[in-house]
Amino acid sequence: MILVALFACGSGTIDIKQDTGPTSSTNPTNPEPEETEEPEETEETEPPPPVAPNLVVTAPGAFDPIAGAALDVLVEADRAAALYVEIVDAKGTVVASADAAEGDSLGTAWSGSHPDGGWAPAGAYTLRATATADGVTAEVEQPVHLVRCGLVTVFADDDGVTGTRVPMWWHGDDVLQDVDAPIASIERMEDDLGAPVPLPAVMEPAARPTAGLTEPVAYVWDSRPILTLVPGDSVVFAGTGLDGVDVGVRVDGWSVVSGVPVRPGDPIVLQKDAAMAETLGVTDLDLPVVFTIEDGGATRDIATTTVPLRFLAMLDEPTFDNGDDQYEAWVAAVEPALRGIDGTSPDHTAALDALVGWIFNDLGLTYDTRYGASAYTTYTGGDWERANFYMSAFLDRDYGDTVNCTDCAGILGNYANMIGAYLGYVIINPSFDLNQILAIGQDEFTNCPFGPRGCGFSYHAVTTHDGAATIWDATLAIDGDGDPGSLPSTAVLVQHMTGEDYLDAIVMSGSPLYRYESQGSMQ
Amino acid sequence: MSTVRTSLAHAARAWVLLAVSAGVAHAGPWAGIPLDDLPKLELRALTLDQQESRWQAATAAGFVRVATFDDEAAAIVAFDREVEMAAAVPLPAVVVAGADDARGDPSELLVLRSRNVVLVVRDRAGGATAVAQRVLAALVETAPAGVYREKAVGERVLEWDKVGRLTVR
Repeated sequence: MILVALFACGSGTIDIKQDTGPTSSTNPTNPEPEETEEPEETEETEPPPPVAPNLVVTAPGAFDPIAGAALDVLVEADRAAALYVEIVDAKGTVVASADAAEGDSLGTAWSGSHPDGGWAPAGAYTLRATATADGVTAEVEQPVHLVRCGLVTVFADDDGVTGTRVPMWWHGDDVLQDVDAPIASIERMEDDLGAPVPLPAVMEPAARPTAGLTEPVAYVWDSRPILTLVPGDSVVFAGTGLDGVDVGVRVDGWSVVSGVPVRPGDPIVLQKDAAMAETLGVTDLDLPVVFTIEDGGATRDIATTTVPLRFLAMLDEPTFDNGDDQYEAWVAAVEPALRGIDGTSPDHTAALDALVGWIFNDLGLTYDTRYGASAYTTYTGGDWERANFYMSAFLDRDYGDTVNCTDCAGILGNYANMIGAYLGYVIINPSFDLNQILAIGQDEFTNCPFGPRGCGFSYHAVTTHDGAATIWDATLAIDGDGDPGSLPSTAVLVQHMTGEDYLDAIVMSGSPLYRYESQGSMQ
Repeated sequence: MSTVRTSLAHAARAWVLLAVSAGVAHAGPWAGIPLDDLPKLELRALTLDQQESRWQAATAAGFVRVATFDDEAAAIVAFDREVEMAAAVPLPAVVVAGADDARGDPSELLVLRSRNVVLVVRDRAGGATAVAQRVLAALVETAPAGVYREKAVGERVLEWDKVGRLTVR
C-alpha cells in the first residue's frame, strides 16, 4: 500500500505511513476501495445520484505517545476526494486534525499533544474521518484511547515451589534484603515535561545499597523467578486512560500469571518460563515489558518499558552452620564470586573447583613468603577450631593483598558457603617439610617458600566438606608431574584432591595429620 | 623451646628491672588502647572482633592486632598460642622494649605481650618495632568511659567499650 505525504493541520503531524492497524469503513463488508464501472451514458437515462466515496480508516484502538509511538492514522477513499480527519475529546473539542484537498489517501499521526499546549489528557477520544466527493460525504468514526503504560515498582518473588529467592546481606548496614520490599521503584513515570523516567539501573556490589538504584537479586540457579510489576499513574497525562481499554502484557520467555488487563496500581505478575540459568553466574538484562492491545483480531504492541535486572544464580541457599544474622550471602561477596565462576556447572564439586581457580588466579592475592602470617584471620581463644575470618575487611583489602593459608581457607570457605556450596576448613599439623609448591601470587615453584626462614609449614590450613577425604586449597598449586619433590614442576590446582593424594603431593618429610575440622566464624 | 623460654624470661626480667629503675613499676592489668586514639597512632580500618576482646587496624604497611585478657596469666597462654598460629614458620624470641614477651622479627612481624595484652604487628616496610613501641606506649590502665560500638546479632547484643573489650549481652 503506497501512500502519499500530505500536510500538517492543527496539532497533528503528517508523515508517510504504511499502517497495519485495524480499519473502519463506510462499507465494512467491502473495506477495500474498488474501481467502479463507468455506466454507459444514454440520453434516455437519468444521471445516477452521486455516490459517497467508500472510506476506510486505519488506526490502532489505543496508543501511548511516551512509551510507544504517536497515533498513526490512515484514511483511504476509493476515489479522489477531499479527506479530513480529526481527533475529538469527550467534550467535543478537536485536539488534532488533518486534511487533504484532493486525494485518495491521507496519512497522519497525532503526537498526543494538546492544541492548547502540553499533553492531552489520557482517556477516550473519537477519531472521525470524512471523504467528500461529488458533493457527497462519507464519514467514519471509531474510538481511540490515549493511554500511558509504565511501571513504577518492581518486586522479585518466589513461590517456594518453582523457585527460591535467596535474600542477600548488606554487610555495611547489617541488614538482609527484604524479599517483600521492591527491588526498584520510581515515584512517577514522567518528569514535568513528559519525558519518561526509566526504572533505575542496577546497583554495583557494595557493603550498602545505593539509594535510588535497582537491587540485584539472587535465586537458586534452577528457580523460575516471579516478578511483580506495578503499573504507575501519570501526572502529566492526568491518569493512564487504561480503564477504558484492555491492555495486555507480553514478555518474551515469561508467562503473565495475573494482572491483565492492566489497571493502574494493580500488580502484573510474571513468571519465567524456564529455569533462571543453566549454570552458576550472573545475568544482567534489560527485560522488555511490552504492552499490547487486541486490535482488529491481531495483537498490537503499543508501548514498551524496560526493567533493568541482575539475577545471581546460586548453587543453593547459604550453607553456614552458624545461624547468626550475618551468615548469609553477602552482596559484595557473592556477586563478584559468581561473576568469577560464571558458566560453572551447578554442581558442588564444580563450584568449589571454580572458586579455587578464581581465588588463586584472579583475586590478586600473594602468599606471605616472609612468615606465612595471616592478615584476615584469628583463632578465637587460641582454638584451631575457632578460626574467625574478617570477611568485611578482606572485601575492602584493609590489611593488604598478602595472605596465608588460614586466610585462603577463610576466603574459599566463606565464598563457597555464601553461594551454597558447603565447605569447612581443616588444619594439617604438626610441622612438615615441603615438596615443590607454587604459592598463590608467586611465579616459581619452591620447597622453601620462606627462603632462609624455612622450608616447611608449622601448620597448614585447607578446606574440605567430608572430613578431609576431599581437599580444596586456594593457597598453593601442587607439582603434578609425578615427582613433587623436585623441579621442574607442573602446576596443578588443588581441586577435589583426595586427602591422601594432597599430603603425598606437598609433604616431603614429617607426619602431619588432618585435624580440627570446622567452619569457624566470619564477620 | 627451653632456649626460647630462657630468652623470654631474660627479656621480661630486663624490662621489669628497667621499668622499676625508671620508677614505673608494673601495676594492674592494662585496660587497652583507647580506640579514639587510633588516628593519632596512624591506625585506620578498625575491625572489632565479634568473638573475643580483640581488634585489628591497618597501618601504612601492614596491621596491628590487639587482644586484651582478664589477667596476665591468660595473656601468657594466649601469647604462646598466637606465636603458634600467627605464622606458618617458627618465630624466634626477640627483645622489644616495652614488651614482656616478644617473638618474631623486629623488622616485619612481631607477636608481643605486655601484661594482659597480646599484640601482633605486621609491617611489610620493615618498621614493626617502631609500630609496636608506638602502640605499646598507647596502652592505658583505665578505659575511657562509655560504649564505643554496639551491634545486635540475633538476640544477642555485642558491645565494645572504648578500648575494644567485648561484652555479649
